[in-house]
Amino acid sequence: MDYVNTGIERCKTLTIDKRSGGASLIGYPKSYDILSAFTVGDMSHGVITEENFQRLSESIYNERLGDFKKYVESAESIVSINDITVPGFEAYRQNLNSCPV
Amino acid sequence: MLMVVLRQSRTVAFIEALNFPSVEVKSELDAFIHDLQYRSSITSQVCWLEKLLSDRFRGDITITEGNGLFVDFHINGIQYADKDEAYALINRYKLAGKSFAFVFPDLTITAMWGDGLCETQPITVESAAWSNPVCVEMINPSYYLILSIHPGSTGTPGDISANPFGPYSSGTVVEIRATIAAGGYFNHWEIYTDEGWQFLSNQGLYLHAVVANTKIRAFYSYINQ
Repeated sequence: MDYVNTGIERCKTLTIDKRSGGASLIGYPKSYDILSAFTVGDMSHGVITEENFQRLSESIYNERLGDFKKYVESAESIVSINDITVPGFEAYRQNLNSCPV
Repeated sequence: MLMVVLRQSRTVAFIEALNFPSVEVKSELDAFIHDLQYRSSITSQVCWLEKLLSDRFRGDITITEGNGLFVDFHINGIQYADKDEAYALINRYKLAGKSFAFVFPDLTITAMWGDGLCETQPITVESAAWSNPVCVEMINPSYYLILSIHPGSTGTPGDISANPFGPYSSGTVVEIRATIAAGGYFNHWEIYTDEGWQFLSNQGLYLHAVVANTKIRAFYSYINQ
């Protein structure tokens, strides 16, 4: 089956930085890969290839993304990933230059 | 207790100096008792936990519900440098099994997504239309037949053949041939009866049919992919 770009890019790496007094804490910035396996609550997600990640249906992608955010929130004691995401560096964003339709 | 005649300032000062350690110990004991009474009055209620933290860390410290997130409550207002002591205090007084997280006012946490991959979706068939009907007629056979389609390799026409099957396999074989376009497939069969053409099956490549002095025809759809 042939696939085409939708003009949207899905980011695979989430970088968390914790800074106090202008300097990053030891061990930060820390990166998490959404393609890796992870478990949050009763939900487990296996390793996925880049190609399959690109081809995930919107609903399955959103489910994996939501669980991944919860996983990082739990691991980093963060209330909400969405609230601290730097504008312009969202997980799901239009990029017609990199992903021409 | 001291006789009046002996109550001179130097004597009094001397006695007070001798008694000073006892006064200190008494003062520390009073403070310790007061602290014990204070700590024993603390409960796991939110208001008490807030008071405990506010008294200890001198700030506007609040506790908010987890609202279905990964912890039961959040503690706001603790400085990052005080996290270890605050953590120990909360663990001492909170209900067992309750989880919590700190929201440090002096800690800036940012999240950035990177390494974007292009989202792709499968090409969908917008429409499908029936076209190019192929008629297959059979006369005479009173056999059980298997009609099968041999699509051939990609890009070459296939054909339809009729072969004998069942108790009349020794009878005359009537072969039917029809070409189909590359990429197409038969998926709609009709049978001719006294009442005209009737829909028979849409089973795709293979069709078992009882044919007796009648006609069968097949249509195929051609879908661009």
